[in-house]
Amino acid sequence: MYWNYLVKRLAISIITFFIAACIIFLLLRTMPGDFVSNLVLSFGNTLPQETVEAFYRANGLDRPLHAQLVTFFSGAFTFNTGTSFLYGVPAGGLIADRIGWTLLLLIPAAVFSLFIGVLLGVWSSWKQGSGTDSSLLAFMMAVRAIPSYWWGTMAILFFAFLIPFFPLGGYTSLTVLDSGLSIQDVLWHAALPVVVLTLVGIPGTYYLMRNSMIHTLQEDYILFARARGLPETRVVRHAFRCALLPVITMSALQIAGLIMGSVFVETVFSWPGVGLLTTEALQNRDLPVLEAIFLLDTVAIIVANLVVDLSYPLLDPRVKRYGE
Amino acid sequence: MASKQRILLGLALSIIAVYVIIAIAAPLLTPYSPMTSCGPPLQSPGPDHLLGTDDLGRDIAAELVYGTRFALVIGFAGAAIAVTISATVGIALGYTGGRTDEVCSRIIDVMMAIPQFPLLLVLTLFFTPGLFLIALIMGVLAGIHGIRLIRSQVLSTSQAPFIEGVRGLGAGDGYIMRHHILPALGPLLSVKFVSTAQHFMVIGVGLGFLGLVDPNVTDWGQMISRATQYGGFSLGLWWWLVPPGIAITVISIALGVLGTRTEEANNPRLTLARM
Amino acid sequence: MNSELLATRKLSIRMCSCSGPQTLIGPVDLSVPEKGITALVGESGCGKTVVSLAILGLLPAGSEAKGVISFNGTDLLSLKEKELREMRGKEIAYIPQNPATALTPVLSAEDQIAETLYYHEGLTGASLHRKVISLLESMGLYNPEHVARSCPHTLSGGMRRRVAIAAALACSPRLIIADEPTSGLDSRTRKNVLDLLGRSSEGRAMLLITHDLEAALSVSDRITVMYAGEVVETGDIMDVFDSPAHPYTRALLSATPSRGLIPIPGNSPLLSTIPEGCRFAPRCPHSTARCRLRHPSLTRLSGTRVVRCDMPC
Ligand code: SF4
Repeated sequence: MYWNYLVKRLAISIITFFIAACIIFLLLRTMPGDFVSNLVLSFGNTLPQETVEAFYRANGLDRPLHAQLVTFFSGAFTFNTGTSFLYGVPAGGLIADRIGWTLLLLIPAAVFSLFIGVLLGVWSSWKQGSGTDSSLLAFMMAVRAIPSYWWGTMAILFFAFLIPFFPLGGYTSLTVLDSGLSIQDVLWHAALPVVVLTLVGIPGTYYLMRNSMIHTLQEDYILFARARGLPETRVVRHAFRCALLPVITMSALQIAGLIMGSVFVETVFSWPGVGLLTTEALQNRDLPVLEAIFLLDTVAIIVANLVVDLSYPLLDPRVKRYGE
Repeated sequence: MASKQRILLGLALSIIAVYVIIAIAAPLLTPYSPMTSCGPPLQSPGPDHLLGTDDLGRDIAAELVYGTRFALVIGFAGAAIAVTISATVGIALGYTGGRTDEVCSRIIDVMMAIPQFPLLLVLTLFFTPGLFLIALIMGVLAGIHGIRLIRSQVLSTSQAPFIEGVRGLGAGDGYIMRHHILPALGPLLSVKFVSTAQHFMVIGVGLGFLGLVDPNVTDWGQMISRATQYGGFSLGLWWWLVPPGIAITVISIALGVLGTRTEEANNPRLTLARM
Repeated sequence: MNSELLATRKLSIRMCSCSGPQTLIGPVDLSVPEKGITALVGESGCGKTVVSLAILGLLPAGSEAKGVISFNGTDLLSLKEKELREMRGKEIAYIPQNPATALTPVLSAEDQIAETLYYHEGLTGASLHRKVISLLESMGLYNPEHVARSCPHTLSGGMRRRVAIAAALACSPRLIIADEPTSGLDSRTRKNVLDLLGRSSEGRAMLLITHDLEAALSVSDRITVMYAGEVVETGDIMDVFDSPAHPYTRALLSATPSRGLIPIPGNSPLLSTIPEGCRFAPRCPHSTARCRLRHPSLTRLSGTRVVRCDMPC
């Protein structure tokens, strides 16, 4: 039954989350030459011993490991992994503040890239083997090969520096100081990062869609539809409706993949989302924030996988077997 | 193969060859060290410094040339490690099967659920690694992820009639794995190697860009990052900003072309099954 | 007199796939009268399905058909894609082999029958719906309204087959091509399916493509046997059954369950490695040195009886 399958998949997801959380905890807090001593050392040996001890005590790092583990897990589900070393506020709250900014880029980029990728994929598969198809394939290969941070840098160089049309980065103009945050201004700043993130997301969807269409177009029912004399546009619609299902379900994973892209894109554009927070935390060795972000990404990927596995049997009438 | 594609493949191979030569012959190509200041900072390109100098007075051309080493080592060494791990573990599990296989496969399933990219970030930060350590970390992570694919491939191969036949002739397991299963995996592994190398170069330079690589290593990512922060945009020093980006883009596209061709050569009816 | 509806003359098909070697099929000379069932029999891989695709104009990209396929006086190979499309489904119907995969999984049965009627006869609205229901009823489905609303995966295999046949025959085509309708069925279902096909083809022409000689014998009026891409024997079913002229036909007959299941030695050649001389020579019990050298041509034995063998039995 579907319910059994659902419960089983949920249980596996939660276990996976726990194991991932354990691994990251052990890795960051117990490895020899541990992270925190390195951090403290990087402030220089000039730091008086009391300060170091105070730092340990303030962050609960002097307590025995099992006690730390308990605190860690009690906070793990709310991403409260401790107080940020850099900002002095809870890591969970920091992420909550920033996630909206990331979603502001991520959601439009995901929608656009999905739409464009599906469209081009269908077109390409329909013209399979033609010049259009192979040039689209070559184009996608190139788009994929160019790193996201370089797409971003080039976008700034051309459309913000050489042609000063878009802002160089950030999320608002300086006018914010006297007129307050304006929505238009924020969208204006979001335009380039969204375009870059969309571009980065297109090839994945395109390959998936093209592949799915090509497989579907070889099915018996497509031959039968043609044999009944249906016009080619109608035949492609038959194929499209079947081929779209796996692409839609897989798009959850695509979006989870875009989160990685957003680390680079937000850093390039100094966009104050979770991606930039990641870079800041990395550069400042902000342990609690890193742990929280790691947990967030883990959840995102686990949820994406869950959505794929759970929605597929619901959406696709052909799949009747649940579980392995 | 159409002649146009042949030209493209030749071009890609020669680009890769040129990069390899540059990486090996770096000290012969530039008189400067990429790490030491050799003049006033932020010089424009000129006869002394072909691409000028950066904010610390280091020769940009020298940094660019030495940066090739970083990208190539990360890409090729990392991919070699990844493919070796996937292949050995995958073959061993797929071929022996049974209880060990089951237990190991479960462990791998869980490990695959941990997001790779954040884990990579945290690990690189933890070790503040140089070149070889990054290659090792990336190779191990991707290697674990590749096991499942190889294992399923081995499962289908080891059931093939000719393997049965060879076993019937008295061949040992080790012999069969080395001489029959490994060669059968050859095409898959070579495709995997090229695409992994491409991916690793892009990610490796990206790590530099995020400031996670040991600052004593020269890499294109740190160059781009420094250039954007210290005048690449504001002062218009494009000769500092653009070359490292072009360098990674060109090698990445060349490897992309090579990867596509390898894939097609091994499976002509292929519909580019990638994700 | 039962005149000829479909005829192929010197039809040869070249299939190119970029990976494998090219295969050649033909020349195939086939004749289907206006009424009754003509069976096209041969082992799998002999090219019979390719011939049916060529008639429909649905050969895979990169293949090429030469010769003449004349349908009711027009050469199908000379038609434009659009004219051919209007022919398919309206004049020439195709019943696919496997009903489980022949219907688009995301569309209801009604949608799939209705679209054929919509594009060929311009029916819409209530009249379209009535036509769909009456078609389903004529296929012997008890609850046509319910079946019409259902998606294929909720229907049983037998119901799906009926829906597929209803969709194929919606526009009362003059020629029906049935591709391996009995493969993989148990003997009872096989009989039902043959009955159904026999009933729905009454008064029309049907080309029954099959490797199942017994099925062919039980329903058809004429038979054409193919081997390794070419026609080896054609004739009225009773003549062929009583006195098969080609050694291959005889071997096929002996291989049927009622005649003792005697297998034919050897394998049929791949279409890319066809032997010179008589293609059946390596497996033929009567082959002579001459057979291996000279490729026999089709010889007329009597009125409609044709055989490709230099020493017919
Ligand atoms: S021509 Fe010869 S080999 Fe061919 S079928 Fe006739 S007897 Fe057999």
